[in-house]
Formats: sequence, structure tokens, C-alpha cells
Amino acid sequence: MKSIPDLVKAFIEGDQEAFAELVVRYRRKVYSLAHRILGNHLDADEVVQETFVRIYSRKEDLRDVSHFSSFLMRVATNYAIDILRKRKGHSGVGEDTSSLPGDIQLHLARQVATPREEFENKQLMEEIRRALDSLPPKQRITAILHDVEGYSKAEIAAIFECPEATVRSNLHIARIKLRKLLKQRLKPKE
Amino acid sequence: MTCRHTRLLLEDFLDHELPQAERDQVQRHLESCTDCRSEYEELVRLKELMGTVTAPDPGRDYWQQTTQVVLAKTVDSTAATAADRVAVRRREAAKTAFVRSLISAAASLAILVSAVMIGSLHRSAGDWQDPAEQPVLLSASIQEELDLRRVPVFTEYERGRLARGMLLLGAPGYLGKSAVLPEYLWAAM
Repeated sequence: MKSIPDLVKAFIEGDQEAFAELVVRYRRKVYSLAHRILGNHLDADEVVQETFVRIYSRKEDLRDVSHFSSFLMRVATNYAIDILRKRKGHSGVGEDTSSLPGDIQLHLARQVATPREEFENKQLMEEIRRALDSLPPKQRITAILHDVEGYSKAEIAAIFECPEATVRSNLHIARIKLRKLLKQRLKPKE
Repeated sequence: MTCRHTRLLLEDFLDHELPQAERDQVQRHLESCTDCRSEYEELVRLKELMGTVTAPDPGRDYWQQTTQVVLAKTVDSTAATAADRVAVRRREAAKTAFVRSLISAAASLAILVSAVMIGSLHRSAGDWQDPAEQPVLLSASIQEELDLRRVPVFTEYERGRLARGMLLLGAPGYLGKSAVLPEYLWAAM
């Protein structure tokens, strides 16, 4: 199995099989990030497709094979931001899964343990989603990348191509706002 | 360490991004300060809550389909574009070759038709054992001369031939002769 740097190098040199392998290796990561940012399958799917199409057409912009991951995430987050801006106030909260293809609906349904858990999880998710949706795109994505996806501030700075201090500031402000909006949920359990 | 200083470092402490010495100082302060500890615990719960923002797994079929769609838009599209260009060039070349062959065929046909016509004329000529029996064609100038001079100069035999309707230009013995051709034709009939 080829390493990521080898695959990226081969891709830059025009190896189309290497590109296909990169799609397979990164598709889940991109989908996961996009879904967490946008809150629904259809938008996440669009981000996945568009991200790899853009990566394919912009391989000349890849200056260093070691930067592929941050490059990929940058393309994905930028496209997600575009969708958020187009959405302008239409939240992705409460995805209507009935509009999804049947096999995906079935698969998603199987992931919920019980109806009660489903209800509680759904409520919690909607609350968190609403709180995230109220944040400006950069703060929202910074919070998701750091606190959900586990990226370090340095990695996020590489994705956004901004100073680490900016990431730190965005994260701090995002956390303050989220703490305010989710105050009830953050109370210690008695 | 003061509360104010501790709260400035709380998030880095939470994110494990403090140097060990500072980390120890914050840890000691949290153990002794209820307010700062309460603040820190709220941050911990927020991070845990954020961790529940999961993305579902749409299933293997989705991954396969999406990968195919992506490859169709990228790798296959590039290959298809190149293949399309080759196909277009081949079609153009085939079209040109077809047109050329049509032209060649038309030219060949024209030559063939001409050859058949000439051949049929020659064959017509060959139908008569006696070359003198062959019908002849009168040119317009000879016709004119005949009309002008109105002199019956054809023999009975010649009139018979004229009656058959065709006179070959330049047939030996006929050039220069003048006759009122229409009259002799009728008379021969």
C-alpha cells in the first residue's frame, strides 16, 4: 500500500490511479467535516464531489506533497463556506432524511439504537446545530475543526492560511458564544 | 497564579497546549479555586458536547457511487475528452475519404458512361458488316450547306442511309456533299 506522500507525488506527475486512491483514502474525512459544518447529507455530498474535482484541476497548486491534507481541507472548507453564504439564514438543522436515496435512509436509520435515544439525540443535535449555525462561518468551522475533528491550532492555521493567533482568537470567541447558547446543556449534572 | 492569569490560560490548558511548567501552575490553581474550576469544567463539557456532533456514515454503496461520480467528472472526463478528440479526427478523416471516393466514383462513372456511349456508337458502327452501310451524322455546317445549295447529290444508296437518321461527321466521301437533307430523308422513307 502506497503512502500518502507517494500517492500525492504520483498524482502531481499525472498518475490518475494515484488520484483515485487519494479519493478513496480521504472521502470519509471530507464528508465528515462537510456534514458537521453544513448539517445535512446532500450538502456534504456536494462538498465531497466538488472538493475532489477542484483538487484534480488544481494539482499544479500543490507545492509540497506534505501539505496535501491541509490543501484538501482548505478546498473543502472554502466550498462549505460558499454553501453557507449561499444558504444565508437557511439552517441545515433537522435534515429531512426522507429526501435521501432509499439505501442511505436505511443505512442512517440503522445507526440509531432506540426511538427514545433517537429523539434525545435529535434534540441535542438540533440545539448544537442551531448554536453552531449562529456563528460566522470562520468561527464555526474553526470550532468544528478543533473541538470536533481534533485539528491543532497550527493545522487549522495552515488550512485557512492565516496566523495561529487568528485561529486562537476565532476559537476563543466561538467558545464564548457557544457556552452562552448552550448554557442549559452545560450545567453540571446533579 | 491569579484567577485572571489562570482564566487566560484555561483554554490552552484544556487543549494540552501549555508548556509543562505553566500547566502545573494552572493545575495547582484549579485545585484550590472553585470559580476557576467551575469555569474549566464548563469548557470541558462544551468540548464533550461538540464531540457529539457526529457525521453519519451513509454506507458502502454511497462511498462507491460517490467515488465513481468523482472519477467520472475528473479522470474519466479527461480520458473521454481525449478520446472524443481522436474520434472526431477519425470521423473527419472518414468523411473526407468518403467524399473523395464519391468524387472518384462519379468521375469513373462519367468516364464509363462516356466510354459506353462512344463504345455504343462504335458498336453501332460495327453492326454493319459493310462500313459503307453505317449511318452517318451530319454536322450543322454540312446541314447548312445542303439547305443552301439544295442540290440532291446523294445516291439512292446514300439516301437510304440518311433515312436511317444518322450521319457521322467526317465519314469518308460525304464531306462537302450538299443536299436538301430533309427532303431526301422524306423521299427515302
